[in-house]
Amino acid sequence: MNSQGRIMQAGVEFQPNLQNPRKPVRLGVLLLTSSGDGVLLGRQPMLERKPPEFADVGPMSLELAADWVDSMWKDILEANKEHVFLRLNERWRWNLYVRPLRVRTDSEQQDLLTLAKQVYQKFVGEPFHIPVRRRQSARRPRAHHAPRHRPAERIVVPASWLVSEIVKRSSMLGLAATA
Amino acid sequence: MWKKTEKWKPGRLGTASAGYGVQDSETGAVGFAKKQLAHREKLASDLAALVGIAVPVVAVDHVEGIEGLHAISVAHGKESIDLSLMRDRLAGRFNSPEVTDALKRASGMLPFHAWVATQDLKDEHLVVAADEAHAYDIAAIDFAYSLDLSAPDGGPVLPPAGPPSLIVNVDKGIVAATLERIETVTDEQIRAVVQALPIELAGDDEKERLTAGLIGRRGKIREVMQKQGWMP
Repeated sequence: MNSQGRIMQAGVEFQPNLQNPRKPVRLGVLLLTSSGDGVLLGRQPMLERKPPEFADVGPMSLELAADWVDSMWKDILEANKEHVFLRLNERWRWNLYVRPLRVRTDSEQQDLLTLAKQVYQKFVGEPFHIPVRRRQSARRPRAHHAPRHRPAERIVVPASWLVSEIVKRSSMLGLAATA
Repeated sequence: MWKKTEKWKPGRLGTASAGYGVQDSETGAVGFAKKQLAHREKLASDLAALVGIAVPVVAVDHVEGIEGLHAISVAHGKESIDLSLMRDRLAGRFNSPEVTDALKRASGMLPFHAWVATQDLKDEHLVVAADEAHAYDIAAIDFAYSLDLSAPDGGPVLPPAGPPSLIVNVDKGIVAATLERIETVTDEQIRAVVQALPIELAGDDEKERLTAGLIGRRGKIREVMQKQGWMP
């Protein structure tokens, strides 16, 4: 998927304590093009083996963070023709929030997923490993739009994180990521 | 001194809710700073404190590097989420008896909204704070569209049209107790709260309109609550 036009970028962060804030935990990135393509890459804490960054986080916030990729993607879909980032800013503005990053205009024809991985590595501070695609079962084909949740390579990602990727195209979703 | 912070940097919202995350360099607390209609945010917060309604504390102050006074709404709890997001993304919690109980305990917001004429009433403006013990505490936020009170007596009091989750979980006893507290607020108390607004945010005429409006509306809420069936 090559990018077309302007690319809006945002980071997703988690601030564990709004009354005594510390360095936020960086969870992922979202890239949307003006033509409506979108990539959301993120890592989520696992409920049973939460990472140290979530050590003193309560169950409500942990539950939200443990599924934020799917949850946020639903909000992107529901934004329909609205300004997607405005919708996300209204919804995600508490401990887990969307942080605007710069708009890119120099990435014409660059593969959006490759670009998103670069932005993820720079923002989160570790490489994003695309989950290995397994051969589809004939009896249980995966839904075309289903997010892929696979543990990334053990060496890179601690066992307490689940890495997730969602890639969509506007022609199927009717997204309007206008600047 | 409040400063923009890198520790909590949510994206900007539209219209009257536009603002940014800031941090108090002395206490470390974070808040959401808004310039538009700041006097309404401050006044609603102070009036809420007067009658025991949960609205986050609002400080009126400057933000370093930005001209003008801001209404800075301090975070509600260590961890919080608005009720709309909880309903859509944490449905199990939203439907739990604990959240229902918290909504019932927040029923006093209904007569309060009627008093200050809040117009933008939706579940997004109810913030749920949670602690480790699964105790929930709900606060009302965003009073940008409130306190537009007509002279000379604040105009007619209308029943609040929301937030929907409050209206379906009304505790009549709590509504009655809150109404009693509103009705016993004295003219002097109302005048003092309004007069405390910085002159940069509200001039003398605006303060007089607000004071007369709040005093005038105070005695009109009971009938509305009774007609709604929200009183014992």
